[in-house]
Amino acid sequence: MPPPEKLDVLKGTLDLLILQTLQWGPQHGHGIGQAIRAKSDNILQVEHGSLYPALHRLRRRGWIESEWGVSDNNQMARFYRLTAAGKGQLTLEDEKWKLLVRAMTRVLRSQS
Amino acid sequence: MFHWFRAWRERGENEAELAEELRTHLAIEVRRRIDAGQDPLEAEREARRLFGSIAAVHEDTRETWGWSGLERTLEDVRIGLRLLRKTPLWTAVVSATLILGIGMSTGIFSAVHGVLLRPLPYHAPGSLVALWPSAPTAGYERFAVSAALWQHWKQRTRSFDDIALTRPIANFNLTGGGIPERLQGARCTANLPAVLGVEPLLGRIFTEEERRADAKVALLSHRLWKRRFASDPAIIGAKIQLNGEAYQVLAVMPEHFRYPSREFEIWTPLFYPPQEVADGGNYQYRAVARLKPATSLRQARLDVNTVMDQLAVELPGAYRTNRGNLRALVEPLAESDANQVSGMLYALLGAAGCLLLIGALNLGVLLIARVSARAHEMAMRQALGAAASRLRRQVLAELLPLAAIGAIGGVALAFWILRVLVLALPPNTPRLDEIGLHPPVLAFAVAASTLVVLLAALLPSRVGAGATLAAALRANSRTVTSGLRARDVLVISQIAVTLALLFNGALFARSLLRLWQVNPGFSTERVLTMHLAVTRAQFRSDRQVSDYYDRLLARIRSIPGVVDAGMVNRLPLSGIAQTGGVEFEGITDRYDTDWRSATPGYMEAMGIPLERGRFFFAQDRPDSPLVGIIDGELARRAFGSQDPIGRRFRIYAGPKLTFPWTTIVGVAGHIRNDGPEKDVRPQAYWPESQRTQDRAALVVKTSGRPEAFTGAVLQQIRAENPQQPVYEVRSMQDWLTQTVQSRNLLTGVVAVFAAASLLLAGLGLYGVISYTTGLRLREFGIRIALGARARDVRSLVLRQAARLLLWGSLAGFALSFFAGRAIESLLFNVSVSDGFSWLVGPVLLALCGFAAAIAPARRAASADPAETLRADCV
Repeated sequence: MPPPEKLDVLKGTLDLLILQTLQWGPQHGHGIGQAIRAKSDNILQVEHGSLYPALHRLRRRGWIESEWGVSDNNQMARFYRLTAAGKGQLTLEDEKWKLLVRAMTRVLRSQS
Repeated sequence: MFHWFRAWRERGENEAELAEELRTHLAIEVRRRIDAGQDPLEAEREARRLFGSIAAVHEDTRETWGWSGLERTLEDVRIGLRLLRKTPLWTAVVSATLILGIGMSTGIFSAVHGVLLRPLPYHAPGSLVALWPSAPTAGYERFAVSAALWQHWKQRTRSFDDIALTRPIANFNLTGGGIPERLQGARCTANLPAVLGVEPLLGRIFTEEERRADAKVALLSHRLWKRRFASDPAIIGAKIQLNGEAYQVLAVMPEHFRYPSREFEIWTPLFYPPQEVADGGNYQYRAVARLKPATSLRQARLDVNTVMDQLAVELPGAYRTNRGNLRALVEPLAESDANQVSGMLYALLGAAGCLLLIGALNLGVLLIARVSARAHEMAMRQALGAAASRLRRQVLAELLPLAAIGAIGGVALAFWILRVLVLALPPNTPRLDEIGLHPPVLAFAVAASTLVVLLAALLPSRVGAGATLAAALRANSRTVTSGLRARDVLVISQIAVTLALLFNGALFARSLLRLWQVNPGFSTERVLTMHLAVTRAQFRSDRQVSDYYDRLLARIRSIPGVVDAGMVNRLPLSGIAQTGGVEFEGITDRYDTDWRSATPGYMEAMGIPLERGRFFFAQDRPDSPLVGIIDGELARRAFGSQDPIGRRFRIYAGPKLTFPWTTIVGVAGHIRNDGPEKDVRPQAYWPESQRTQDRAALVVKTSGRPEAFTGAVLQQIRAENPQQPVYEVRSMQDWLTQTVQSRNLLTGVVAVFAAASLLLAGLGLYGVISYTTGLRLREFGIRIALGARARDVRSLVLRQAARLLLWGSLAGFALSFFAGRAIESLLFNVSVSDGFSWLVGPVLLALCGFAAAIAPARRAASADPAETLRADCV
């Protein structure tokens, strides 16, 4: 089996990944993309074309909030932070995901 | 809604913040790469490449902001405006078409609204109706009410809360405290204000008892109170001098009380002798009634006509003619008042509607051409993922600016049209001063403009979004013909409507021509007229009045340049009638006539010819033998070829009244008293000295411009009697112009509309022919390359135009038939089967069509095969 290639983030899972990443502290858009790639061992690739619309969507729903700040290497950036509602949503999404994975695994095992 | 509004306000901020956010993202990425040892330039390029399209990120992020629907529409409108700016000629033509159509129809609609549709200023105006007796079988569509009929209606009908009676012809010479003034007044029953739902501003209305007792009391109009009495509240209870008698002022009416029309300034009790009811004659009143709540016009009509049938059985002498029972009309008050002009106004509105429709069709043709030209672009966008609905919406949104231009420009044009139109409308049009750009009129303009643009956009937007991708993408000159059929239909409809308009225009023009040929029976040249009414308190007896007239005439005849002068009780064309029956000795038939009292000199001054015998002369005195003159028409009807001179006739006004016999001494030429269009009845004349009337029209034949004599005539009248009010000083030509004014207006406007639509139809035809010719240039090139002669190609194009014209004309003939029917009652001496009118439209259209097609045909014939074939490879 060849090594896994880079994968696009599955539809519907990007929100979960963003919320999960922000759990470790406020981060800007670039940092979120980097973090997801790093944590997934360079497998998950977040398109900028979907990252920013997703961030703005989550912000509108009130799950994250934003504020301008200075990054580690002294650059201005817009930082996103998880809100209380966002934390609740994260738990919810996390459970949903686990349920989905269990179900998928079962189906795939029984096939083989 | 609020949420939208906030999002809209924050939109600029959001946009800037997003741009900044994306910029910082790139900066961080670049720094990361430089820190990792990459060359700065290389780092920058790589970061941008990986990031992808910034615009796309913007677009997608914007979608999440929630106001993208509005944003997109505005974006489409912006694109629309840009496209309009890019094609200024197209935009100018379309805007002009729209503004013309909207402006004309809005202008005419505002007249219809002001005169007919705007509610009367009274309480619950919808339940106010006018009642008229009618004898359609005898040729009298409507006539005035009699006191007897009013009483019958009041007692027997059940549909009305109350019925009021008014005698609209009452002249009051107001004297004392200022220059003598003649007031237009009315006598009315006590319930008139209550029926109209009007309370006096000051004071009280007279009572029914006061009316029956002929009390000398008066109600003043608000205008008269302000003008003559300086708005002094102390006028209530004071006495004013009317016709030399003291009248007590009982009330001042509010400003909006102007029944029967705005000229009326004073109201007094309507007294009629009890004998008048018993006799049953004297049809000279107006009835206005208020319907009971929840009573329909139909119920009221049924009710009143049932009463008419009862009356015809009980009193056949009064309410049955030899051609059937008298009927009654029940009409909404506003409509009834505008009876004389409503037909014309609706015809004008119909013509304006046709012009608007043609404008819409033209716009449709132009839009289809535009959309077809963009079919390739649209298909490409669809292939790249744009939804068909989005494209369709874009086509519509592009047109919104056009609708706005049409509405705004149209209202501006209507404002200007109104200033001309109000002057051109006949002066007897009710509520002329109320015509204006009221809110409903503005709503009409906006609605019409939007509707026209949407209508015009319907077809092209379907063509735009419905074009199959594959076909449009490999489109070349041979295959892009989508929308061709729709275009044909539009042009054919345009031609059809234009033909109908031309047909009606021709009918009206023919009517006007016929009208000019009519000889009214009198001369309007160099004749000055004015009205006087004598104050009875000053001249008690008939003899005093007629002597006074003679003295006035003697003075006026002495003015140098005056050819002749005379007086008559009712001036021809002035719209005021005095009519009734006459009977001849030894002849059983009775005849309905204009009753006229005339002084010697009247017929000479008016240019009425003498057919037999003699005119009146000074020797016809109150105590000399009673004489009369009949007109030629009456002579022929009563006596055939026999000589009427020496025979006797008298007034007939019901079986219970007897008038003295008068001997016929002359036969005068017949005149059309009501105007050249109507030949209603013959005339019977008596000498003013033997049948004296308080009201007289002075007729002066002059040797120069009649208006120039006004001063001299007035001076002579004042010298004889400084207390004599004089009113309506006009030349006879002026009266005639006023009489035919509505027909002039109708003909002029319809002719202008027909010409405009002919132009538009020509443009539409030209558009279609030249567009399809452009598409077929390649085909023509091949034909020519294969040996076709220029003439053959030319005829191909001309034949296409001819086909469109033929179909359009066929549809137009069908339409003309109905259009002609609709205006039949407005025609004069011309029938809808008038051959000339049927021919003129097709001939004009054929000429116009040929002119529209000849240039494209030339272009087609000169198609260069080498060029057109090469063009295809590019």
